[in-house]
Amino acid sequence: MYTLEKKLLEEPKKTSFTYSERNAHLLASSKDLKKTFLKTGTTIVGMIFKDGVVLAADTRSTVDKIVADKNCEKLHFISENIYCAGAGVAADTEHITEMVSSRLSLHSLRSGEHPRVVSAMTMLKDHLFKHMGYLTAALILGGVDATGPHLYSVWPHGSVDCLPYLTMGSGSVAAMSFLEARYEDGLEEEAAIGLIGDAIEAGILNDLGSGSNVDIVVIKKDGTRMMRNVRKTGTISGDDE
Amino acid sequence: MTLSGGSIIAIKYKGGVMMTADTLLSFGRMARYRGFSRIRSFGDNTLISFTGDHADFTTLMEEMEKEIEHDVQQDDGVVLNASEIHTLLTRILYHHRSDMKPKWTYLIVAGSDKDGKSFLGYIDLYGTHFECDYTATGYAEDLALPMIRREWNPEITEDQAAALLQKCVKVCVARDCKQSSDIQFAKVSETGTSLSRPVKIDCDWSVASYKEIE
Amino acid sequence: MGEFSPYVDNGGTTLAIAGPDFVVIAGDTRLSTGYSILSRDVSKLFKYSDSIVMASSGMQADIAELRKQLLFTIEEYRVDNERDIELDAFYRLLATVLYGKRFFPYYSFNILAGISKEGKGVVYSYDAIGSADARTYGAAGSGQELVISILDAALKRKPDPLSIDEAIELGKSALKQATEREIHTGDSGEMYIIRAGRPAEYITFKLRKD
Repeated sequence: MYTLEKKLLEEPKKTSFTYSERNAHLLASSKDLKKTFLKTGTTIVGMIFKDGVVLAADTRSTVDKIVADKNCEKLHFISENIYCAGAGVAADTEHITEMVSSRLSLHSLRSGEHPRVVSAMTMLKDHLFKHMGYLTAALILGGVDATGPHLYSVWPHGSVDCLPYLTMGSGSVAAMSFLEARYEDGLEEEAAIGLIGDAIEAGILNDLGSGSNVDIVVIKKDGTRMMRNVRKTGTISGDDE
Repeated sequence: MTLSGGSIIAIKYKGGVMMTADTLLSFGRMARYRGFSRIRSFGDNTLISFTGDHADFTTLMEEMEKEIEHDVQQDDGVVLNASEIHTLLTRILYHHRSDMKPKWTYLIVAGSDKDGKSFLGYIDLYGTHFECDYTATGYAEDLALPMIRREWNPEITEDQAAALLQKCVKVCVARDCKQSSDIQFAKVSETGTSLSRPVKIDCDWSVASYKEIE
Repeated sequence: MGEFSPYVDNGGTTLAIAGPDFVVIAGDTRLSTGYSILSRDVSKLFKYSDSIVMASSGMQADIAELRKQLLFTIEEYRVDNERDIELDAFYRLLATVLYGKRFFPYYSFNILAGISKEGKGVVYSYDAIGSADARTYGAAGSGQELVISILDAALKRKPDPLSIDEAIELGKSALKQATEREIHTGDSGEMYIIRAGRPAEYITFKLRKD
């Protein structure tokens, strides 16, 4: 940091990009610490179906190559009608979703209505954009509001995708292969749950960052159903001879 | 930047091995040459296909031709089978990596072993190698393998194998920006090798026009 | 493009436990790079004779080369001496072959298990460049830290001598525990059970595939 201060004193009036040096310094010095952060090297999936939105996630969280939690929760509550699946640094995904959740609950207390998914999406992307990618949160946001079902993915730098089926995390490619092969518009609830379960299972079995069980949340106009550990893929495959 | 080839997918079925690759050579993200066959039949009963650097693969094949020529000159009637070619290629690739001059390729070798059983083998630029029932390289390793691992079984018939590969390729076309939709299928069985002409894979892009209901 | 790195880590965990007149040696069969599984069925164990088995984890290509070099040499030994190589000689051989590549090491972490001339079970544990010592148990690979702790806890202060069934169960269980908590370990396990004066017995067992 000494050289940085000296530089600032030497060239006090010039426009400079010294902060890029600071950022590089911070990045370099935080590298070792970063390795110890809890990551959810994850598979998360979101999908629109006939009556609403379904989100799903695996339940493994890792620190480097070690499994820190074999059954963590990656489907975060935003409101009764909105959930958010999170991949990336666990602390980031948990705190961001909690922040948005509390802000939206105040919002709906005032308006007396269920919050809208776009509001959550806007809060998330603004917050992430403000932090320029330093918050490692890759999110899939889904919900049903007065305007119908909505599904978004929000990237760490604050960009947003809006598609009928989305995947994120280290197992996203494995999961996407199943969706790409089998997704169709207007799937029945049962078929949607089956497909999204298979997609997460693909992540669990093929991506080392993902593992253990499948969590699914189904959000419909008339209510939300959270299904924790609907499939125990990781442990079943390891049964004794 | 160099010319490179994309994914390969290969699976065993009851009676042989089937393989598929697109027919594109890319130069970075440019689709440079179309209609190039990345699957090569080697001798009467072996298929070799590559992902990665085209020039390195060509050099490797020249090296292999020399080995084969040497073998032919023995005139002992012994012909290398796929398993032996797999071992030979492994040794060559490992040698080059140990020289710190790797041949930047991922190879899939298909054919039969000394007992006449179907053989399918994988090799990478480090010399990592193994025999397997199904495998994929390039982006298909992430896109196709999960589906094959779920659906494959040793009793799979030729038609089922072809359908499975077709399904995998379709996903690759949809999701891998370097995958061309002109695909070659090849198979190797007791009756020898066969390589199809490039076929067009249809893909459904309707999702691109997806608009949210507001 | 940066400088080519000639090494890849293919992960995997191995272990060996020696008893008074036996030794067991085990490993998983997953072959991985980074976050992806290349194969669920590649062996880390290699049997050189009825009483010598080596378990190797690290880089698969280097391990294959190392095995080949060892096979050449022991075949030469067999021809020259008209008998199979003994464990203590093999132990020196492996150390020498590894040290022979001191400045371009084989990226391999080996455990050697066998029966000594006196009929005792022995485990030798190596680093990548051929430093080795005899132990009663050892572990190597991506789950080494986890497995060695389990073996320490079970064996360090064990008052009565270890039975063969206990060793087999401990070996299996330690590998299963490593699979629970270490992402590069899994798919299935295999084990050689080597008893004095008997051909090595081979068993396999299932592990988590996630």
